[in-house]
Amino acid sequence: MRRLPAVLACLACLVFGGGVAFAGDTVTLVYLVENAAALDGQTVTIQGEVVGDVMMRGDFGWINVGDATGDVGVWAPAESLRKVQYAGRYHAKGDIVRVTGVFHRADPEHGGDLDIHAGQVEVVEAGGPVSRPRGQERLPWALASLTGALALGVVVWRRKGGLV
Amino acid sequence: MMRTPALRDIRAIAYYSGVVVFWFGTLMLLPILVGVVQQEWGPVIDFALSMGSCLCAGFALQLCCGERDPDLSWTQGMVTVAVAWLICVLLGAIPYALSSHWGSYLDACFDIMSGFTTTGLTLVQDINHLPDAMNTWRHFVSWLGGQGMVVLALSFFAKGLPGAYKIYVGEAKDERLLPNVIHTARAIWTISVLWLVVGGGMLALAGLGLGFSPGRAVLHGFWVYMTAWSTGGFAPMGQNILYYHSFFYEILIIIFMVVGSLNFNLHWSVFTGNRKEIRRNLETITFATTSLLLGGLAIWELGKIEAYSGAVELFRKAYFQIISAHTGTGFMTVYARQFIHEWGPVSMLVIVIAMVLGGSASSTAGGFKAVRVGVALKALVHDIRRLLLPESAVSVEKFHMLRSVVLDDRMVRTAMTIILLYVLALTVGTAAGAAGGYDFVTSLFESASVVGNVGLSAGLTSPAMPAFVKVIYIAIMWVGRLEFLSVFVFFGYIWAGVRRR
Repeated sequence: MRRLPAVLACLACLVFGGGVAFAGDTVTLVYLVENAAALDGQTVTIQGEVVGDVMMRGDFGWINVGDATGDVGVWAPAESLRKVQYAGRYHAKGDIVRVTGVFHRADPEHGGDLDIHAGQVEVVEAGGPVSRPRGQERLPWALASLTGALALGVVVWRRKGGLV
Repeated sequence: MMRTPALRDIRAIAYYSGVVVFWFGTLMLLPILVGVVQQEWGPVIDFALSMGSCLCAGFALQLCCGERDPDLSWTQGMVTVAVAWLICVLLGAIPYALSSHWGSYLDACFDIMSGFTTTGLTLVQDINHLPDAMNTWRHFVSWLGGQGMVVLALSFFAKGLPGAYKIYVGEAKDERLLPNVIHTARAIWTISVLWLVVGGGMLALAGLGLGFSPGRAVLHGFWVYMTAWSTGGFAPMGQNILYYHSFFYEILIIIFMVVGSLNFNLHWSVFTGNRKEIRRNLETITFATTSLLLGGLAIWELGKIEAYSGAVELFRKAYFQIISAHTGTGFMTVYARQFIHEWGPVSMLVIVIAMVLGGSASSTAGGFKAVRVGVALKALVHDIRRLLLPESAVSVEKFHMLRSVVLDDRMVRTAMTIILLYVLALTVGTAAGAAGGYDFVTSLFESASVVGNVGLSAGLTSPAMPAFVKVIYIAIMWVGRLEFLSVFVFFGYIWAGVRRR
């Protein structure tokens, strides 16, 4: 019976797509957007992959953090952002970070953006280079189509004296 | 009686479609080049396969149809455009379909049609890890679609092409910058390339200030520029323009969206020294008036409901979204669901109106177009004035568009017909959304975005939406961009052929 409150709390987290929004519990990014008015000005914790670029702007900077449900901008001290080694792109999996900070539905400091002002950014899992498939199985098809195009192009050239 | 298509017609349509498909295929060299530089070998092979398919199709269509028809008819010109666009969509979607970022071939076709028509709605998945080659192609397709694929193909003809003007008109461009239509096509591309260098360069420099590495700044600068100018609305990252967190970047984008939505005739006039035309042109006056009015209304409503408090926030959020909607671009600096949750009904309605109004005729923008709205309003004022004048009085209404033009009934009828067709397409799109299980406001908003080739979303467009909604949206984007005529003639042609059998 002593476990019941904990079980109910976990169920509530699942049902409401991320859980109660206070520091410590992580919330999903779609939960932030869907409940932006209620969460405005509260301290929240999110966890996700840093995607794209780490954009340093003087003593502070921006990262964009994405989870399976969406992305959000995080404004944080440059010092804490220097810990981020990888941002997610085609060739890289970004660092997984846990961010705790104040959530803004319409940040007055940044022109009304929906964002988080983070006090700390913690790297919980290092990212790194990703090996992508080279598509060798499609190479013969690509070569065949280009060869076919070349052959047809020669015929067109001979008949018309040009390619069109 | 409807004219039935003869073999000669079909051969001519296939020939000119083949030419367009050939040039379209050669353009895949750009993403291949980017892929090689970035060592994205999988996408390079996918693009090579797609390019080969386009070239094969282009050559085959030319070979099976012999020589070009020296006397292309209006019908042939219109059908050629509709057919060429369809083939380019089907073949251009191959690299998307082969990647793991689109759920199906239908999703891939949706995104290519969205790019060609400069709509900007997307079904891409995991966009933040998209290869640079793929992102280049997405934005490049949008940029090409803005100017027009046929316009591009025409500009490569060294000699005069009989009937070229009839194909040119089929792509919803009807005015000549120069007496020769091939020279006109080249002029359009000259203007576009010059702006690409200037605009892409400016955004690349601005990107350096945002904290990007030089390579990323250049890529993002040119990607964003291409879809701003073409009023396309694709963005390389999941957060769209919100990703950049920069007022300065947003200001530059606003400028390029507006410039891209202007009539190519106006660009040419200014390019050749006639700068006064900007202030006198009916379209610029209409666009300035409606954007100020709609922007003002949105700011008033959003301020009233305290969605945003300060003047800067109100401007950045309200005005950016209004200009994006009005030019038919579809860039966003708010999340799709924020429209539903935080923007009041008046602001939503204002955005819908801005989307369907669109930009200028003969531009990269979609929607009703400013000139048609201007003509309809002039006609209304003229009719009221005529009723107030004595019956014997002769009243002539004029407007300025490069020259003084007398408003006549035919002009008004054409403008009103196109507006009516847009409203009809809006209704069909809204009904499709509602039939798919979405609420009315979301369905209306998304439909307006599709009809006007805008790209703003209230969250309806996603890979999870029903397949029939995707198909209807693809069809509406297609007819909306080609302004109905070419597609209607295409189906009329098919119908006439079927009836004959």
